Amino acid sequence: MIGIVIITHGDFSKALLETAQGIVGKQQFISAITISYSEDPKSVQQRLEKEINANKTVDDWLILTDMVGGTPCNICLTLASGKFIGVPKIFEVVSGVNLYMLISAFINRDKMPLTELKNKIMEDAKSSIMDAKEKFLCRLKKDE
Amino acid sequence: MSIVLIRIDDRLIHGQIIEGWLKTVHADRILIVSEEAVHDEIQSQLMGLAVPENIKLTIADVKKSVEIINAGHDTEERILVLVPDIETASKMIELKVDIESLNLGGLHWSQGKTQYLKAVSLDEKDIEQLKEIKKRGIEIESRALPMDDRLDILKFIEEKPEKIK
Repeated sequence: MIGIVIITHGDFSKALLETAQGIVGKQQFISAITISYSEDPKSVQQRLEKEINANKTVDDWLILTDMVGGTPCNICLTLASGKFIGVPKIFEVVSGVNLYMLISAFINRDKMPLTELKNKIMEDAKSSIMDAKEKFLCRLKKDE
Repeated sequence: MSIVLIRIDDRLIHGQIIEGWLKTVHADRILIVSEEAVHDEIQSQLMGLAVPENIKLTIADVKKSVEIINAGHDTEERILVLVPDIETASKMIELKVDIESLNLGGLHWSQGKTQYLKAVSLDEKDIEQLKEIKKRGIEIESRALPMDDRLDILKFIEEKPEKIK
């Protein structure tokens, strides 16, 4: 099983996790890390390390974060750059997490290895962004 | 060159800077004044990744930063300066960086500090240093983002000395 961590600004990650689980059901090896502006980024990094290290059965981790350049993403990349001390783990870090991406990760995490899963969720998240009204109106026209 | 913003923020470059400030103050260059960051390959690469391609990024220590600012007076460049702590800002001012206003953006909480705002925690030494800067006629305003109200942090502390959590 591939472990998943969502780490974002504010309570976004928590709400996203709850919402996604509400749609596709409860998940294992998943955690949401929230960050407040008063917190030292170093202590957030320790929380992330702890989260990952506490789980001895999972070595492959998919870390989903909100924006490149934001503190949550910076923390993940520092971790992935090898500064991480602990049991050897494999990480992928993907930014731009949205509901589709997370749901795709939940649905596909048992079906493919980590690298493939990373590519799959990026594709799914990208294709989830569409001109919804335009698409709908096209369908209506076809029916006429 | 004009300094469009000089901000104390221990996270240096992060979401608020890139999405909030950069697009409002229309800076051409971000100057990071941090000796630690100069020597930290990971941190400097992370900042490079965060900055849009059309914005220049310079990471330098205090002395070099002051030289860069003072050497560029005759250029049109708009520069956004980020310093990680109050001490660095003080040093720059002592080395004759001419500013009218200093933005206090974020200093995280740690043992011995009092949290005054969502993102601003200070100890007594910090407050003393801020008072010294204010004595030079420099405005100290605390704002997370450009559209927030400019808060006179020293006045705020005077009026509400008790711990605000």
